[in-house]
Amino acid sequence: MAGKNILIVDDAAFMRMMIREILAKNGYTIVGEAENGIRAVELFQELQPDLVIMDITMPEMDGIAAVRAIRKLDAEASIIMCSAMGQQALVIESIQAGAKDFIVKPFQAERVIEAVAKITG
Amino acid sequence: MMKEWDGIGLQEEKSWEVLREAASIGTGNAVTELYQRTHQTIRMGVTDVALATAVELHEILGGGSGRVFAFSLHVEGEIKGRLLVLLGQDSAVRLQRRMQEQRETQGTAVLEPGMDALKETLRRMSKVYLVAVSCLTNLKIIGSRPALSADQLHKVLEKPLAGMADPEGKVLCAHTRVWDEERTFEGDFLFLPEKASVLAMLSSTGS
Ligand SMILES: [Mg+2]
Repeated sequence: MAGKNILIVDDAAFMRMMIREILAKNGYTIVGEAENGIRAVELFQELQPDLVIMDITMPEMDGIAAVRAIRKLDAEASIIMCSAMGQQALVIESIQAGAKDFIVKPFQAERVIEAVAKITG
Repeated sequence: MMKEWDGIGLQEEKSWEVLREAASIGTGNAVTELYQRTHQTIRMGVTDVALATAVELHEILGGGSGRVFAFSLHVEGEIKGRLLVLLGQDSAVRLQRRMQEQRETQGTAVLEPGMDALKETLRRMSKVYLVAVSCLTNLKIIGSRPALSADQLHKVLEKPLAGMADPEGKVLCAHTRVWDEERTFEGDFLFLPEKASVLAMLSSTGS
């Protein structure tokens, strides 16, 4: 749904740009970008986004640890994982940590939109 | 630190980042393939990219003089270079054993001695790695018939590195370490693209 505020978390700037372009084209607002888990938690508190798109493999703090930290701050936080680490055990670990969906890299734009639309309603 | 990359006018930081992410995505997909075969969760470190001499590469890979299994292939097409999967002797033997058990329980193949099951698994992982890089970059890539060798690290690196070094004797490498929860399995993925291929990756991803 247009107008929803999204925080993008990925250590690769070009990956954040790819996701930003897909979302912006579909009417979503990107309120912030973070390059690691620690910055993601800080920006989540500061910006209170409607949704977070979260990479797993990142320096400083990985994405699953960041999901746990964010859900501690806000048990209702909506987070979608976006990672190449698509092993079933890690998908389950992410969902148990509080993520609502999992996008496997490399992704198609439609998959990103489908996941985001499902959660932001 | 936006140093120009000699010769092709690339901005080092930006191009290295695309390579880093491509290698990370390749490895992530390759270990998912491994997980489907072993049902053992594999963790993966942050990929590091470096322009390194053979000696420096040896250090990046943790040095050591033990026997290493190297699975290497030539990457051809719109990205050219080499892809290597390196396993220490213990990890290779354990993985081989696990693959063979898997085959026995599934009854899919006759129990074969030697390294066939390991080779097949590594071949699949390499293929999945390249397919993921190809999907990300929208560039066509073909992997050559892979070669499996077992020797000391500097020896197994010799052949794949031949012809890859720049005039200063350095190769561009993206290195990703993987391991299982109990650390009974550890491995290294090494992607060595030609510099011109990194330029192609950069422009195809719109960076
Ligand atoms: Mg990452």
